[in-house]
Amino acid sequence: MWMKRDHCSLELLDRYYDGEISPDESKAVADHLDGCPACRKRLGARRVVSESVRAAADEAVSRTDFSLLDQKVLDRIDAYRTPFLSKLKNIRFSWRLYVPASAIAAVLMVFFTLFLRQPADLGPSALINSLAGKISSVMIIETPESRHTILWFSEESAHTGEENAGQKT
Amino acid sequence: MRVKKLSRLWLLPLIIFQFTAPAFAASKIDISVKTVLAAQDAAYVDPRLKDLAKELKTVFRYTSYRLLGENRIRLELKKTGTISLPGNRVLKVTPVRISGNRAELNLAILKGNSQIFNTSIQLLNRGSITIGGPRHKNGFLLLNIFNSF
Repeated sequence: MWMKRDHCSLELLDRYYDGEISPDESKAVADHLDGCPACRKRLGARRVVSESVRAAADEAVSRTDFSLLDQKVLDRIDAYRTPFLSKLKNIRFSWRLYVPASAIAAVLMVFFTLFLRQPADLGPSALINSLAGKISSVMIIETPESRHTILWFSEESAHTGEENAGQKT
Repeated sequence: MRVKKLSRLWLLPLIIFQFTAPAFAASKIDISVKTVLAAQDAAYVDPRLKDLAKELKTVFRYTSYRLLGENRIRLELKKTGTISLPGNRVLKVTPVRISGNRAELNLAILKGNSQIFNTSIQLLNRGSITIGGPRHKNGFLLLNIFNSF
C-alpha cells in the first residue's frame, strides 16, 4: 500500500527520515531498505539535501544580529503606537491650539479679576470715619477671626442696663 | 513664526487689564441689608444667618437670631437708598465714593422723622458691617450691611 512496485514512495521516505511514522511502519521500512539499494540511495540523497539546507540555515542564523532585529521590530511598533508625549510635542507649538488656549486663559483671568478678586490684606471689614446721633453710648467691635466690624449703639431714650444685656463681658 | 508671535499678543491687553482693573472704578454699588432680631430666648438660628450668627456668637451671648427681612438695592454714587426697618425706622444708605477696595458709605437710621444715628464708614468690597442697638420686641435689631462693586 505504501510502496510502489516494491519501492518506498518519496513521501514515505520523507516521513521515515523525519521520524513521523509509527514504530511498525518504521520497522517495515528499515527491513525493506536492508534489501533495496535503490531506496537506500534515494534516502541517502534525501539526507544530503536536508543536511545541506539545515547547515545553510544554521549559518544564516549565526550571522544574524538579533539585537538589531529586535530594535527594528520595536521601532516599527513604536511608529504605529505614537506615544502621548509625542502627540503633545506635535501640537505644542501649533497656533491653532495656542490661540484658543490664550482666549480661555484670558476669560478665566477676567472672571477671577472681576468676580473673585479679594484684597490680599483685608484689615477690618469696615473703618469708621465718623459717628453722630441721639445715642448714649457706642461700641466698635471687631470679631477675632474674620475681623468683621460690629457697630453697637444705645439709643438715648432706652434703658442702658437692658441694652447691654446681650453683650459678653 | 509670525503667527505664533501674534497669538501671544492676545495676552498683552489682558495682562495690562489685570494690573489696571482697580482703576476702572465701578459707578454702582450693590447693597444687601439683612435685618436680624437677636434675643435671649429659645435657642434658634435662622439657617440663612448661619455664617453671620457664628461671627456674632464670638462677641454676643444672644441665643436666637431671626431674619426679619432682607433687602437688596443697587445705588449709584451719591444717590440715597432707603430701606424700611421694623419699629417705624428706616435706614438710608448713600455711597459717597470708591477708594481702592473700599466704598465710603453714609448710613443713617431714622425713627419717624428724627434721625437717631448717623455714621460714615469705609466698607471692604464684598465685605459687611453689622450695626446693632435699637430695641425691638424682646431683643435688639441688628443690621448686616453687605456691599459689592
